[in-house]
Amino acid sequence: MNGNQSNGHDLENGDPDDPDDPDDPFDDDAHYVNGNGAGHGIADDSKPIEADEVYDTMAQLIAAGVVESVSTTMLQSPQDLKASVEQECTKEFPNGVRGAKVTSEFDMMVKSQLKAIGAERASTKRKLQESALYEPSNIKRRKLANWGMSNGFAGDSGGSILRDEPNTVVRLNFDKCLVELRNQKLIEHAEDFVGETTAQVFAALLASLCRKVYRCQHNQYTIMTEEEEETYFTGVRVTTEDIFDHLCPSVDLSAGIGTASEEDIDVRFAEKIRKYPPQVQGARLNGTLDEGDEILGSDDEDYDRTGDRPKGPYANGHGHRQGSITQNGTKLGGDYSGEGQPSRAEQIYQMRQHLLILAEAKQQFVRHCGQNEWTVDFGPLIQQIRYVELDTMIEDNFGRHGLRLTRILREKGKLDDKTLPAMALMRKPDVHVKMAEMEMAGFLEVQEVPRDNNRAANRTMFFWFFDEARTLKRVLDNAYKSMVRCLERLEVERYKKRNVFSVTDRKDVRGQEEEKLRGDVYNEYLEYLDIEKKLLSQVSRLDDLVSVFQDF
Amino acid sequence: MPGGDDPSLIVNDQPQETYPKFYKPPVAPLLTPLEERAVACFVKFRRAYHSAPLYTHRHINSEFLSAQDPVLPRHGRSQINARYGVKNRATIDPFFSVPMYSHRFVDDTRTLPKLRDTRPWVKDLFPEELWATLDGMDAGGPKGGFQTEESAGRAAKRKLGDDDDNDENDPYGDGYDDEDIFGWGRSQRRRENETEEERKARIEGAGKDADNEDGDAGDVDDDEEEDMELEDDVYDSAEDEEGGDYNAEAYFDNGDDDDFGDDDGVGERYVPFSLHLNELAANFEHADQDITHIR
Repeated sequence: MNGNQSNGHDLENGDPDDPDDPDDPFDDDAHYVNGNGAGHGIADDSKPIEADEVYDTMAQLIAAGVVESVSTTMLQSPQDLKASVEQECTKEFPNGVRGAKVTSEFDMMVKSQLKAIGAERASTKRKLQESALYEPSNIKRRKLANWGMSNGFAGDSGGSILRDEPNTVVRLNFDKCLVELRNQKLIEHAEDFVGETTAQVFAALLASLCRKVYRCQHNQYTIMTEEEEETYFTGVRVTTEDIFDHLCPSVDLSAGIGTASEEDIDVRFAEKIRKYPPQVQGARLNGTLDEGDEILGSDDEDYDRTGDRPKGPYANGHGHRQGSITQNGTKLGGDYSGEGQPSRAEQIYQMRQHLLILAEAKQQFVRHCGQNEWTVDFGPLIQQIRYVELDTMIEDNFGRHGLRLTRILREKGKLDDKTLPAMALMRKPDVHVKMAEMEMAGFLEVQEVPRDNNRAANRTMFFWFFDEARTLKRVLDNAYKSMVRCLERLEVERYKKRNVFSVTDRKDVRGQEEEKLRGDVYNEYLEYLDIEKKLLSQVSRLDDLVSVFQDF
Repeated sequence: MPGGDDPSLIVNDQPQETYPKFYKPPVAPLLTPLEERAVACFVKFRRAYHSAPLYTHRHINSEFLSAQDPVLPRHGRSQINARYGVKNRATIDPFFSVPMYSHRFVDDTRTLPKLRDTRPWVKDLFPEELWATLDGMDAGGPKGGFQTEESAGRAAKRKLGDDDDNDENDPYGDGYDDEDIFGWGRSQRRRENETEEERKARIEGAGKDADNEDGDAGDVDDDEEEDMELEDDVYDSAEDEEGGDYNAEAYFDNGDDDDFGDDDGVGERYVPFSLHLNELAANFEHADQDITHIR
């Protein structure tokens, strides 16, 4: 590994990176993506990394967008960049930017320059993506060659491209990392609500979809590449075939789907195409009306006719399976592994069923947005996950009754003091106690509306309401606060065990504590490690919560 | 029973209905294997990160130590900042600054990140006023970070052969070069009182100076040198008054480095701190020349 590669690691953060340092935190990042991250942190593997391997892995990472190449413009804040581009463009208009026509020309110019900057940033990535290795058709071939190893890839074109440009500076692309983390969260969510196999299909869908998703949240200063802009306005969509190509071949697609006879299924409903995202508050309407598109709401009659069951030998072989698969996806006793691999068409058919389950679910994980086309409405979905987290929190703190009350309020908006008990089917004093409790904790708010001039309590209406934005903010605050407390606690524990650390920090002891330390000291050290593990895991859980509420 | 007839004394002999409420803290679920792995990776990463050359903090936070310990003095943030990284007779701990055998096994704490020779820097990504700093050539002063031809030349020279830079021989980490202590640290302190406008003006002025060496800023340098000499005088005189009487460091200077360490090499490897300081004091003019040379 030469110096040029290493200097690219993380310049922006100015992280230290000594290529000769065996403890180098950055040297082994190639490991994790290689998929052998399991146990890597615990057991040192002594196998040296080949330079070629590093290049290839880096190429793969860059093509996936997790790592990006750095140019000088990226170190400027987006605002500054835009300002400087505007300044440059003003020079082109010596008469000043006045009037509608000139202004629009000016805007066009700024926009195109920004776009050029964006394209320049993505050039390395583009090149790597274009190299044959990462084309979808090759992914397929690769898959066939070594069954399901997402890691094993043949050929070295990606690596050789990088090797030709040894001075490429790279850094982590946090936007893309967030997208991947969000995918993981969504997959977990789907697994909780639907089932394991369906979640794996969902994972494949997200994997193919998110090749075109670059960041979770946009703001006005985000500089988008051309392709990104395209997908930003039309929404991203993938075809069934695409999803199938990303699906891990080891997934048994026949698990987790019921087998109802054709007559029992209302094809028009099941295959209904929803062109537009659901209208949830805060969701973005990213469908645009193209020529020939029907007006919103009139596409009820549109359904996908491509989802017919393939007419093959396996289509008839389904009969005996009926009943062996329960509705919620646990396979009872179907042992038909001897049948061999089902045909591709059959597999795609089964995968479509999973996708339809996802689309039909209450959570609407997937939207069937066109003939054989699928998309995910991230905004509403994430909002749901936020609600789920919030509900869990309320239930843990205030019990089921508290949760019931807040959900009613969330549904109905502001509610009178008197109607609430009736609606919640609870006794009035119980309700009052609960509401007061939740108000103290900041989850609910109360509004007073006097009915006449003397402000007596009995002539005043009290409206309870659930202020979502404020609650989310408070939850976020609390999460950060508890994170800080965990870390402070860790510091206290370190302080308590400082005598131990004065020994374990010695150069000759470090790494071989077990042999070198006296028994009681070693036990104390282990105690600390245990505490540290607990505290750090708590911090990481809180961190996940924060990312749900803030970053996704 | 005295006072038993007091009517105001009401004895509640009824038993309480239930056991009083008690706080039952929720217990976090055990770690999943994934979390366990994540924590292990994080800890490993953190350890590696802490031993990387750009990391400057102590592993146990010293502020925290002083906040917990009733004996250690408590310092405000400004005091901590003022004392940060300063190594002089006032700040060293006489009990531990004497080189000892066990120091071999203790990591040196960095007070400044080690920028030079750690990795190749892509200078285009840094502002120009930091280039010399990246090369470890930041001489302090108004234009300290700017790379001039002279300092660039010196950088090359130092790289070729300057044994003092070899950190293995220097038990107190880098930043213990003479310029580093007496030039850099001081100029930092000088800059603390500077307002934002002044800072801007300084950087702009320095930008001009980078082109022609003999600009106005030369005066500033002279000022600084004068300052330095003044302060040096103060130190020197202080040393004359007190140091002659009882000098804990000199005690070890006279003597037997060979005592600790089973081989003779130990004394050689660790340049005794006090001796170093004395040498500095003795060769102060020399050090000044050195500093001017850099500029």
